[in-house]
Amino acid sequence: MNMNKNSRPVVVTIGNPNTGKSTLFNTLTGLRQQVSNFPGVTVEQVSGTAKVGHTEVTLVDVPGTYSLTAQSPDEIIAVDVLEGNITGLPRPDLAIIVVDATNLRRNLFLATQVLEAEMPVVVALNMVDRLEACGITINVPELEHELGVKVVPVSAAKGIGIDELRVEIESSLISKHAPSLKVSPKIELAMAELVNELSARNISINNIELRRAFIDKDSHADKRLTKRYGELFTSETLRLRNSIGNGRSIAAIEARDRYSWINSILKNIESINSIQGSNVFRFIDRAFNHPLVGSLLFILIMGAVFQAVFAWSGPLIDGISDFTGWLSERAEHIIGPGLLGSFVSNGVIGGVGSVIVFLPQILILFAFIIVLEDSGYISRAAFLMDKLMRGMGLSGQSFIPMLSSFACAVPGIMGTRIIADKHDRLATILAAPFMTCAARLPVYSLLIGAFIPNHHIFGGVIYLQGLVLLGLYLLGIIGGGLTAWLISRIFWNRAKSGFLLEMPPYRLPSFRSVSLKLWSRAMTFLKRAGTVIFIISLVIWLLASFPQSTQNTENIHDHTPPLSDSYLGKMSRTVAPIFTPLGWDWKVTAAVIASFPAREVVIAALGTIYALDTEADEELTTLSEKIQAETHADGRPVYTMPMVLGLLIFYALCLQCMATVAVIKKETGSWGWASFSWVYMTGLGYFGALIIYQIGSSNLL
Amino acid sequence: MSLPLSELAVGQSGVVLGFKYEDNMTDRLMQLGIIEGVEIKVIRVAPSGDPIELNIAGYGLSMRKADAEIVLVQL
Ligand SMILES: Nc1nc2c(ncn2[C@@H]2O[C@H](COP(=O)(O)OP(=O)(O)O)[C@@H](O)[C@H]2O)c(=O)[nH]1
Ligand SMILES: [Mg+2]
Repeated sequence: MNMNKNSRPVVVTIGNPNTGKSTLFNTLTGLRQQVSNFPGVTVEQVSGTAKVGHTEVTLVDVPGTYSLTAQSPDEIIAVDVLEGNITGLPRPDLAIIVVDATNLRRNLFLATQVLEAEMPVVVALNMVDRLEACGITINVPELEHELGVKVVPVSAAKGIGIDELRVEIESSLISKHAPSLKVSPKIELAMAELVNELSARNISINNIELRRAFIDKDSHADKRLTKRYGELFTSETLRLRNSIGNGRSIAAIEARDRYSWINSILKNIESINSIQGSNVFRFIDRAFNHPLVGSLLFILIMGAVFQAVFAWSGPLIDGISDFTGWLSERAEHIIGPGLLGSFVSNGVIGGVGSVIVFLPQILILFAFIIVLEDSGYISRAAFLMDKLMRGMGLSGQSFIPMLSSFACAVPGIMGTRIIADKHDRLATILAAPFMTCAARLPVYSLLIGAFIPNHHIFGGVIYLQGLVLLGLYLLGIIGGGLTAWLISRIFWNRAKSGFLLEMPPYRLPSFRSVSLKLWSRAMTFLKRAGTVIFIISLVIWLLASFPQSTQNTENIHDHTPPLSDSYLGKMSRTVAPIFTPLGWDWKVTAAVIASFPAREVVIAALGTIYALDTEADEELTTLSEKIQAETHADGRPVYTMPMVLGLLIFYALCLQCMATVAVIKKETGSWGWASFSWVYMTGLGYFGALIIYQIGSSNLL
Repeated sequence: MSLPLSELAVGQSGVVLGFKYEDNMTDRLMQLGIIEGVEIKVIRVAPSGDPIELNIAGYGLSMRKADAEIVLVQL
């Protein structure tokens, strides 16, 4: 029946955000897929294999949605999966509708929409472990009777009811019984007529897609079918919409009919006694929600997160760079000097090292974000930040992607899929790369450590070095904020307002869930960013080591050319004049150019450049010492204070990250925005550095 | 008495009567359960005065006052 190449049935988990779909997916597949207590954290469909009875199925986890009227990109994915409109993924053979038992009314809205999709369905009534505490009792047989499908009470988190669910999945796959629930007579009449009219014109469209196209005017499905069938399709839908709508939207008719049906059945199904949360959570809730205490706690939590990211990652980063340094020395020693030794030690080990050196910071920041998400706090943070973010033309929803961008802009930009408003989302995407990501920090620490005096100022309480670092963070935030503000000015569109956010109940994050998610995010980062960084490091090594010279060498094994004669040196000397007004010599230019694909590569590049630089003083061992001693041909030091500050500003503002450019292209669907972002940020970086250097070096100061 | 949802004080609740006008936003609100006959309680207002957090027949949702203004409720 299905087109899957392994001919495995395809089963999709669908439901509202935050109902435990991903947790259930993990339980059924044993595969690691992130779960979270923040609405809409799964932003892409994820598939895995699960065994139900004797059948192997392909299980697909999709982003949560409140309605099949999809608005944000993550919701559109969910609906596309259901309609079979994702390339490479056949239309599902069965849907598991995941329903939060503690919030039946709203969850049944989407559930009944899916029940009308004319496909086999099993309802997983999740979170039944929490029913008692919430004072809710549910008459499951009655619910089954009304919905016309199997309803299995489960707790995905506690592993309750999973075997029963497997049994029902298997038997529904075999029987292929599809429910025949219809809640809106008006819409059904119109649908029947529409199907008739279209089939008279030889058009047959799968029911769910046609239904959504008809109900949701201008939706993804409507536009797709309009594009495919043109006038034939639009004339019929318009006529029928007018005839049953009487000026109201069909979506409004649907919502009213659906909720009145739900209310009528719930009378006999659900009874709620007392709504009593646990005392601890009630106390926490009160504290977090006190206007003053809550705001102070927010500042305290964010402060603690960033403090921990710095304090805890420092020793780990040092450890990793010491270890890779030692390893590459050993490698060169064992293999011997020459091309292969240099390739392994500088190219491979140096390249891998430049990737994993970021892991400590990224992991620590991700761990905090995951705990904040799982506990339900991040929605409160978004609530608190909405007004401030609005000042920049964004909304509270932009806060979470922005926070992730302090680790790495790539997951941050992907996280913008939860934002429904197109322009809010674009503004967030373009602002995200300004946040100080983990890759900028090694550059900052090298330059600040080497050139900013470690003075105490303001009576000894504040370090000058710390102050400069803070300034760079603020520069990123201000740059991002202004960019978002500008974008929202250009696309001024206040008809829409962008903030509707579910406030999930507080939950205690579980260690298992947090570590599984951390693992999955670390892997995503390594795959997306790591490959790029690694390849770039190799390319730099190649450009710095070739062309191999055949003469004029003292050591017959060492054909490495003087750096200035390598491809890298030649290229850099050609473009160096552009950067002379910034106070850079050709070596700095070479390192900066090498780091355009991935900014963190500058450390490895500087390391390679000054290590391969045969004229360099052998006495100076650390990179920091070497750059402090660098001089221009006329003996002036290269790294003067204005030059260093300019270089720092350049790194704060410039978009030197191929992975980010690629993800902007992917998420905006256009190279236009990706190139705009690159040119814009690089321009800001260049002129920022230029202004600082020129003012600093003039006699004005 | 019918008044906009945005004018309820913290702790007050009201039953939805309808909307000032209907558009995409109200379609969305209806799908989220803000629909005639449903009781909505104002849980809190952000320190900056906006947005507000509501309890909609059992679950928490936050929205901006500008959107809450469209919703008409009866105390
Ligand atoms: N108490 C309880 N919590 C659950 C259950 N299933 C999931 N959760 C929690 O609910 C939150 C949301 O889960 P997730 O799987 O990310 O939901 P999704 O958005 O639907 O994919 C997480 O904090 C889970 O740990 C359950 O059966 N019982
Ligand atoms: Mg999920």
